[in-house]
Amino acid sequence: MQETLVREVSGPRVPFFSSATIFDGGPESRLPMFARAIGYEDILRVAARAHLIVERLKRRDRSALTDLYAKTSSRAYGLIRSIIRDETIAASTLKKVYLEIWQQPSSAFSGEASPEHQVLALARRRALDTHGARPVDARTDSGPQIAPDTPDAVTMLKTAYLEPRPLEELARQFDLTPKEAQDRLWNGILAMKGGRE
Amino acid sequence: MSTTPDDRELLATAYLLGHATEDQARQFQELERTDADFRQLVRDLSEWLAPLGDEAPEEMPPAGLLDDILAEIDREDVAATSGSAPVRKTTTPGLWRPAAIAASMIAAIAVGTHFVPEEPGEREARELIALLAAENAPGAIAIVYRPATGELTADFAAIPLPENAVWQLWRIRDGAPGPVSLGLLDDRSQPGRFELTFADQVLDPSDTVAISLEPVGGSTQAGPSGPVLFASTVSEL
Repeated sequence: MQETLVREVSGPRVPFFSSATIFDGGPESRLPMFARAIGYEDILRVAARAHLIVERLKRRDRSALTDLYAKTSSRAYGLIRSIIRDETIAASTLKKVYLEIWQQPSSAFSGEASPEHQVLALARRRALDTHGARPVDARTDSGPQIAPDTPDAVTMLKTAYLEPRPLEELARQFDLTPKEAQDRLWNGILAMKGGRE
Repeated sequence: MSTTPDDRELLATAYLLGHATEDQARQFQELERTDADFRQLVRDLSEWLAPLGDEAPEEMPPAGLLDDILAEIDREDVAATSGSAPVRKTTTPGLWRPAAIAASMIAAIAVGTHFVPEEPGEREARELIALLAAENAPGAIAIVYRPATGELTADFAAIPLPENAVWQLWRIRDGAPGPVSLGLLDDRSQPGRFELTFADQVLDPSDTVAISLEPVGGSTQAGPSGPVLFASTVSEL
């Protein structure tokens, strides 16, 4: 049987396989075992899911949008409401997010994150854009607060992301100067980046 | 990207974390409009930050919002259809309403249980997918299989079809005596796509699918007779 190179589309580099190796058949057929062993399925699945959603949206399949809405709308709305307190404006922003996804699916899902994360990122971004050229208001509600005792960078970043507020207020909450808060947020971002690699 | 952020990174971070000043917000918007590198930085930062959204408090959008969205889509489609641009539609206006209600109910349940639900209809609606690519060749083939309907599609827009030969699709299953042919991918009626329909369920998660290059008419033996061009395991969405 002719020797052929086979490689998966994404994930870790896969050693070359010959077709003879794959197609010898029987329980010794090695490719499925190997595929599981190197654990690339998750990476593949994320890419595949985004691809599939985009394809369905491009074909004007409304169920693709309603499925996505069912999975993501409550969290996306929660993120938007953390930035836009007005319910009418927040709802309008959420509506624009899903219309944007419908109209420009390739653009909406151009990243490498999961489709759900890309929806959340888009929702939050559009909330920031809608909120306008001014910092998010100082918080006056009694939402969840994270204790100010030397938080790690990701914890502080999470607070800033989920409960947006002026930098000075964030710094005060964590007993830091604004510059120290900035540096710590950046360290948190680098940690998030590292977590993806 | 260094451990000390530069001015552009600080600006993008300030905006994306919601603490940009008015002046910073204006700078951000101007740079994003005019600077491709800055847009890429913003895209990267947004993507790294996105998983934090998993911990956002869930809040049900107003009832009827999905209806509004779908009605808006209908209006756009009608407007497009009445113009010159053809619009492919998979449902008639108004038929989305049951799906919208179901989606809203699922979203409500998700909020109540803090649980991200499966696809509506769960197992019946599940889809299996495999992405296949060849060494040193551009593009990939996406195979999507819907057990509920038996439909299998193979999208290969970026990959040229062979001349004077055909692709043959195979299933490889652990414990099976050998590869099983799922058919020839030789219908050229739809550019960039093959469609097959099966009466029985032919794929399960963890199966492997492969495509071999065969003479016209297919392999003349039990397994592939030509080289295997693509292979990948099947994943459940």
